[in-house]
Amino acid sequence: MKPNKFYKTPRRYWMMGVLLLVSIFLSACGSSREPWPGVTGDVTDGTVILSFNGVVTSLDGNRDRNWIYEYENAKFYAPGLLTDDTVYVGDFDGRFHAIDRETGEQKWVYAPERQTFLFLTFRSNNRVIAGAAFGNDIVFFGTERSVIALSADKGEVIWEFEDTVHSIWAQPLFVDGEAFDMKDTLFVAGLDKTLYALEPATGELRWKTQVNGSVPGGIVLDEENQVLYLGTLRSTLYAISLTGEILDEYKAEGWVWGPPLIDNGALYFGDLNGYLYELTFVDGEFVENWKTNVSEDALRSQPIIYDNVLIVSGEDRIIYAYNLEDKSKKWENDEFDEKFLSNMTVSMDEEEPVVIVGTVDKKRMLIAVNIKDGKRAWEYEYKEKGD
Amino acid sequence: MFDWFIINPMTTVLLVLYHLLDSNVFLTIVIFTVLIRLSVLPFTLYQQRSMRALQVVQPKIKELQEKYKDDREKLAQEQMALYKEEGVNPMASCLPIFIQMPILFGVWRAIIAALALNPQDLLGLEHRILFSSFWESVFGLNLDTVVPLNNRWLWLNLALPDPYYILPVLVLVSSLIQQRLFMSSMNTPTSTDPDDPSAQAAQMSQQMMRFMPFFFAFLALNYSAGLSIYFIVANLFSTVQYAAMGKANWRKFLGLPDPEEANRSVDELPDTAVAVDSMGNTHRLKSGITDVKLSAKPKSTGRTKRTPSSSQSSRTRRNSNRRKSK
Repeated sequence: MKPNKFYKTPRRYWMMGVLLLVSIFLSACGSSREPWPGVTGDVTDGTVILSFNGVVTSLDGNRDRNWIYEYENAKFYAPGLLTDDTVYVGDFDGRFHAIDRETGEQKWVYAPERQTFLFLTFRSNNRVIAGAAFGNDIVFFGTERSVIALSADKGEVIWEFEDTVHSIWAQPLFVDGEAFDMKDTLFVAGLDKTLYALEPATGELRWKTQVNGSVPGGIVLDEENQVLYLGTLRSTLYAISLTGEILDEYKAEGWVWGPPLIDNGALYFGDLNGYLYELTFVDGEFVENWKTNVSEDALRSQPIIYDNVLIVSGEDRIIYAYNLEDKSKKWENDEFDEKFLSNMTVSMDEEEPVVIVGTVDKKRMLIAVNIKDGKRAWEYEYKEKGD
Repeated sequence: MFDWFIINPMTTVLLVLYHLLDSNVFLTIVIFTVLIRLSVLPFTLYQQRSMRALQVVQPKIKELQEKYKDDREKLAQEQMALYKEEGVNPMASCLPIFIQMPILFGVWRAIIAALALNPQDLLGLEHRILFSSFWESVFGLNLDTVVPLNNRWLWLNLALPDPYYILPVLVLVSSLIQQRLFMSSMNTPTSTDPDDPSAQAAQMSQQMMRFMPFFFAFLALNYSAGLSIYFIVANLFSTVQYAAMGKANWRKFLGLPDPEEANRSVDELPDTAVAVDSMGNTHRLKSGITDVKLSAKPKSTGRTKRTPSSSQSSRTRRNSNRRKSK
């Protein structure tokens, strides 16, 4: 055996091993964290739709699984949109799926054509991160590059709006104009700090309004005041008229991600510095009624209110409940180990109302907590089709 | 801790640059890369100096190996004494690579955070911005206004891998060019003695340099295109820096024969017969071969002729000594 070879070979393998470990370490630690799951629910029948990783799952009011939907190597994190008979959800390859609400069967899939060159099929450079909107038998959703409108029955492209200059992470809002003496309008807000008003039938831009920061969460409509509210990453909550005029701005303590919840004329929202707010919009201006520092970490999702109980969940792994009347703390549940960043929904568990929130822990993908006393009701473990 | 000292400052610098450069994300990553490379330049220069210093002491190491060929313990002691005397740290050529790893990791995380690859990355971005009130009050830069960075540039979504695989190829090519340029200016290690730390270090460095282009290409293939731009610019920077310092051996890089090296090697090999053919090419012959026919037209392979290295000759000598002692 040659001395050179004898000494060189093991060292080379040793070096390769070290570098392999470094690359695994970098791949594991350096890669982005997994998004939180998309959670939506229908309070009327207790249905919960969970989008996470490779599957979309439907659970019924008794927390039994209705169905699991998979599609090739699709990754689902966007919250599903529930209509009477269909669940609409986008994936991280820019595709959009219509799933039968009862059976979980695929109705159609919109899949943008992939470019190919010789034997290479190029990857998709597009993702659907936000939930969708529905109106006039059209389903609307935002992607990293554009806003797309598909026919609800066949999934055919009706139009694509490509003037956005950054990703769309906020769920679009379809407003039926009849109630407001205006034309039907689709509102879309993006990370490009712009609110767009589009013609739903054609995708034509009606107007756009610049705000001071990116809009990662959704837009809500205050039907009574005919005002749109949205939060920005410059710690601002905006009130914007249906014609695009900025009516007022409220400066929060931290970035505002989740859209506010409107209940009895009041707005409730949290910020990423852990503050919770109650505002009212009176005579074209925001009025601060109550503000409290709930958590040291982010309150990302939209709060929910059930039976005069205001519930928020935070990045600090705690679910908080406040009595709406006197703003006293009703309970808090800190028994869980995972951050609560997904949307929340309400369902019934043996005639007891429960709040359901998603985590990124597959062992406890969904957690249900009793609204009355904050005690754990049940947990759902992530499962794929074969499990 | 790592967040505070590496990722958060880098993220803040990225956002400040983006603000100053009129939201040009490509230029931001380019300038950011140059700044990072300048900040690690002392480590890079130290590494290059260390590798050269190791080469300088190689003849003395060879002498020691000859002298103490039967006493490995003594040889190791003498080698260490020599390194101390010459001020050479045999592991110093590898150390900077490991120091640069956390920086690479920090760059990676900063780009992912600033480009908001996923909602969770964006969620934590507010707390990654350092001294936001300072930037606003002193320079009038409100960094909240620029987050997240615009991820669109040409055909790319900079937060995602290049769908057409162009950037990974460019990363691989630029890394290989940089690696070849660097290695072509270094002589091969003269010692393969397992007890010689300098030989080990030199081999480790070379193995790492050979592996790194593929490692970077793998990262470029699977992760953010913004990171690929960082790799490409960093490779170009290193190449230009190395060339500007006058250390690049372009003839060897291009695969052309290097007359200086040939002459130097010939001088260093006293027990090797030398012949010059009719084309003026130098041929070195193994010891003991005295009669050789030189062709009038040497085969042209387009590559530098492989000459027996001094390590081979020392090996030959060692083997012949072993035979003699038997």
